[in-house]
Amino acid sequence: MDRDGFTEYVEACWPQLVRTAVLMGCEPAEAEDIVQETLLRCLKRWARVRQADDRQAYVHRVLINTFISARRRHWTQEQPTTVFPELPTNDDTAKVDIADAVLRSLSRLPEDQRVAVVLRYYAQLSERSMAAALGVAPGTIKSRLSRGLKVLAADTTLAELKGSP
Amino acid sequence: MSDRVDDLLDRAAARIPINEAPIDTILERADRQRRRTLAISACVGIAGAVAVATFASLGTGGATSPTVAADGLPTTKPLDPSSAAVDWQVGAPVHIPAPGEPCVDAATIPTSSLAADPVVSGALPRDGDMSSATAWACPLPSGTTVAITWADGTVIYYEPNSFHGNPNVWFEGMAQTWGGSVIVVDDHLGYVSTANSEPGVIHEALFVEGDTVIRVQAPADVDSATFEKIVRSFQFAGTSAKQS
Repeated sequence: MDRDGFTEYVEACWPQLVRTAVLMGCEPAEAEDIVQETLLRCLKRWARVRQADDRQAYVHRVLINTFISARRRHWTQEQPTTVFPELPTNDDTAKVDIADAVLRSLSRLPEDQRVAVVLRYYAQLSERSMAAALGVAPGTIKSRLSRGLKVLAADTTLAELKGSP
Repeated sequence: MSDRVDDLLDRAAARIPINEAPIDTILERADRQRRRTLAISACVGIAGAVAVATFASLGTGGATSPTVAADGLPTTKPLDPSSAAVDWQVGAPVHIPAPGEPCVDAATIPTSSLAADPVVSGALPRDGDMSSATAWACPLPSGTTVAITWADGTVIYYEPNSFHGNPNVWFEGMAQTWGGSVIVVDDHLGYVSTANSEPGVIHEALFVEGDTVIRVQAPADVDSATFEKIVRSFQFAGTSAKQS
């Protein structure tokens, strides 16, 4: 199995991929699992990944597919219950910081728009790379970004963060 | 707004804690999956070479177990019951039963044990007649191994407990080996065999629901593409599969 440069790639990209997964809606532990699965899939085809014209787009496409697949499995694991296992807790909104606020705002976006915003403005993929990663037309990317930004612009939570450190 | 989102995402991301990249774990998992794929490939060799004497041959010592030759290609050798465990699945080796061990041959499961309404019926698609297609769903007791002889002669052993691990990895291994498709219907992971895509043979699909294996067969006059399309239209309810 060709592994040339794989270790170096993982070391360099691990933080960014995990954070991308979290911003897309995963819990941190789940994000690590998904990125690990993503990199495992990439390793099995590493020769192709390494030589891809746009490696980041390739890896992010695998990441998104793994993310969607994990969500699908997650759904099947849900069990109906008449008793909620959660215990009541205090509302800690006073402790909300920027990260919480941003994640909450992102969670209000439809999944396709959320993924588009994260890939464009956090992962810094170009619209062309995003089109390749998501398997959709560039026009669709523009549309999703436009609608996503419009929702975020109207988000009062984000507006209140203006000027915060 | 875009600059601002850019900045906010960076600041939010910076607050997300990062653990060390599990490189060794990834490399180790890749190695195990590679070994498992080779083992599955070897099982195809078993089927091709022995046609596999179906399940009954296990009782007479006629089956073989896989080994990997020095060149990496699978080969076969007579089964040694004392070392019959094959690493088919990460973390959950499937046990090939030795002679005398309890095992269920799927072909012998009586109709009375099928889940309610196991027969796939309903509106026939314009491009394929599924009127004689059948599906069965069989709850599998924990610890039981089931041997299914597919229409192309391959024999696959299913151990219910193994599906609690990671069925998609298992199905992907099958798909890579036999060229079939891993599909999702109603959030159920499944596998469509295309190994038997020659004209005039039965097409089969397999789904897993908890400890239950759901197997769908189509008549010989349905082509592979039509069959897969029809399977994708199934709806699952309980442990039975119905064509929508």
